[in-house]
Amino acid sequence: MLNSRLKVKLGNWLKERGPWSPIVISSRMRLARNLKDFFFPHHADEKQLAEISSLIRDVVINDPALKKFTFISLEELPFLDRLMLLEEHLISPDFSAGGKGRAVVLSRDGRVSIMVNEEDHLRIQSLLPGLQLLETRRMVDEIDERLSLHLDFAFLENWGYLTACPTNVGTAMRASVMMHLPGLVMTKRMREVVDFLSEGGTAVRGLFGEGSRALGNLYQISNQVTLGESEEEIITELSEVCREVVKEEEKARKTLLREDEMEFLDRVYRALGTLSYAKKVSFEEAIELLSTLRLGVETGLLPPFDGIDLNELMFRVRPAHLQNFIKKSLPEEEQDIARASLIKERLNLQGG
Amino acid sequence: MLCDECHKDLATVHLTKIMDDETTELHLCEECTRRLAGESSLNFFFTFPKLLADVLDLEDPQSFAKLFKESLFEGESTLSCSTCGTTFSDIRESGKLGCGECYEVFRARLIPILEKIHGSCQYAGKVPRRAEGQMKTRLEIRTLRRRLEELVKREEYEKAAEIRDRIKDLEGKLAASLKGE
Repeated sequence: MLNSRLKVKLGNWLKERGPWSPIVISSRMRLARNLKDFFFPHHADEKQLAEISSLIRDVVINDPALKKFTFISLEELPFLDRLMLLEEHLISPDFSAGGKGRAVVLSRDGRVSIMVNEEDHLRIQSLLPGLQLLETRRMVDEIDERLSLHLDFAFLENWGYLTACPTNVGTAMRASVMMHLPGLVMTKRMREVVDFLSEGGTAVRGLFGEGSRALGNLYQISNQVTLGESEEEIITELSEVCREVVKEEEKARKTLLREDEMEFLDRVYRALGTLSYAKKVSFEEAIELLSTLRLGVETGLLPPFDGIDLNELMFRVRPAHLQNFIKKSLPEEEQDIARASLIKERLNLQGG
Repeated sequence: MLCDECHKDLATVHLTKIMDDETTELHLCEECTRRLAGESSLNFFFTFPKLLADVLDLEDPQSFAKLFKESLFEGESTLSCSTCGTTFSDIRESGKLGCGECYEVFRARLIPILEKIHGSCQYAGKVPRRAEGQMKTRLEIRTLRRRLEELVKREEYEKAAEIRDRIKDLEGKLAASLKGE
C-alpha cells in the first residue's frame, strides 16, 4: 500500500476543458523570487537554507489569505509523492530528487505550487487547462503580492527581480504552454514551426525525451524574454503565437484527412488494435499510442470513448500516477502489465 | 546478426553514429538497447527536455555559463563579490550568481550578454508592492511611457493624451522630491 502524504487533490484540472482545448493541453506560469539579504540557494549553506525555508513556512501558515495552502518539507515526502508532483509538472526534475532545506507549498486544488529553495528561493507556479496565460498570471501574481507583504524580495530598479541565473532576471517570469501537435509531426512540418517560433524569441521543447524526438507529440512552448518587456506584453505575444500554432495544427489535420486518409486510418486503428490486445505497455509506448488515438477521436475518425477522457488517461499512465491509482508500488515490468490492463479497462476495449 | 553488446540475442536495433566524418555502426538486441538507453522509463522525467531548435536554453544555467565564458578576455583579473565571495570562475562553472549584490559587482560583464539575449537590459515589468519613493515613481513613469508608445502606435490618441498627462504629473512629483533632498 502507498502512504501518500499529499493532502491535495491532484489532476483535477485534467478533465476540464479550457480555451483552445484539446490542442492546447495546459498553461503554466512561473515566477522566480529571492529573499533580500540571503545568498541564492546554490550558494547558501544548510543553516541559511533552513532559515529561508522557515521564514516562508511562517508566512504560509500565519497569513489567513494563504490558508488553502499546505507547506510540506521535501524530506517528509515519500519518493512516489514527489514523482506524482513531477508528473503533474508541479515540481521540477531536479527538485523531485530532494535536498536540504527544500519544501513545496501546494494549494488544495493542486493548481498552484511553490518550490522553496530550488534554483531560486521561491518558484511560484500555477497551472490551468487550455490556453489561459492571463489567468495563470493572475493566480501567481496574487501570491506574489501576498508574500511581498511579509517578505522583502531582492529587486533592483534597473534589473528588476533578481534571480540566481541571470537569464531569468527582470520579470523572472516564465510562461509555458503544453500542446498536442500530432498533425504537424505527421505532416513533417514541426521543424519548420520550431524554427519559426525560435526566431520570435519563443523556446520549444519536447515534453518528454531528448533531442528532436518528442514523445506523444507533446510540446512545451515558452517565452525567452524577461527584460525589456512587461509581463502583459510577454503574455500577449506568447498567447498570439500559440493560437497561430493551433491553427497550423488544425490545417495539418485537415491535410492528413484529405491527402492520405487510408494511411491515417491505418495508424489510428493500429494504435487501437495494440491497446486492445497488448499485455504489456511501457510508458513511452502508451503515450505514443494514446496520442494517436486522441488524434483519431478529435478528427472524427473514431467515435469518442464513452465518458473517458484521453487527456486524463495520458496522465494516468505515467509511472507514479499509475501506481498511485492502483494503490500499489510495482517493479517496472509489472507496471507495464498494470498499464496495459488499466488502458483496456478505462477505454472499455474488448480485446483479449 | 547478433547483438554487439551481449553477442547472444538477435540484433533488432541498428544505430549509425556519425562524428567528425567517422561512422560507427552499432547493432543491438532489444534488451541491451533498453539497458543502454537507461533502465527505466522514469528517465524521461528526470532528464530536462532539450530545446528543439538551436537557440539558447535560458532555463539551463549552463547556457549562461557558456555565454559568460565566451565573454571574458584572456587572463582577465579575478573580480569577486565582497558580500558572498562569488568569483568569475564560479559563474563560469555554474552559470549562477551568488547573491543580489553580484548584479552590481559583475554589472559590466552581465549587460552585454543579457542585451544579446533579450535585446534590452532595461527592466519593464511590474512595480513591486514594496517599491517606494523615487524608485516607485521612476518605475511607474517607465511603465506609462511604454503604454503611451503602444497607444500612439495604435492611434488611440485620446487615451494617449490621458497617459501623457499622468506622466507629466509623476515627473513633476519626481522633480519636487529631488529638490527636497
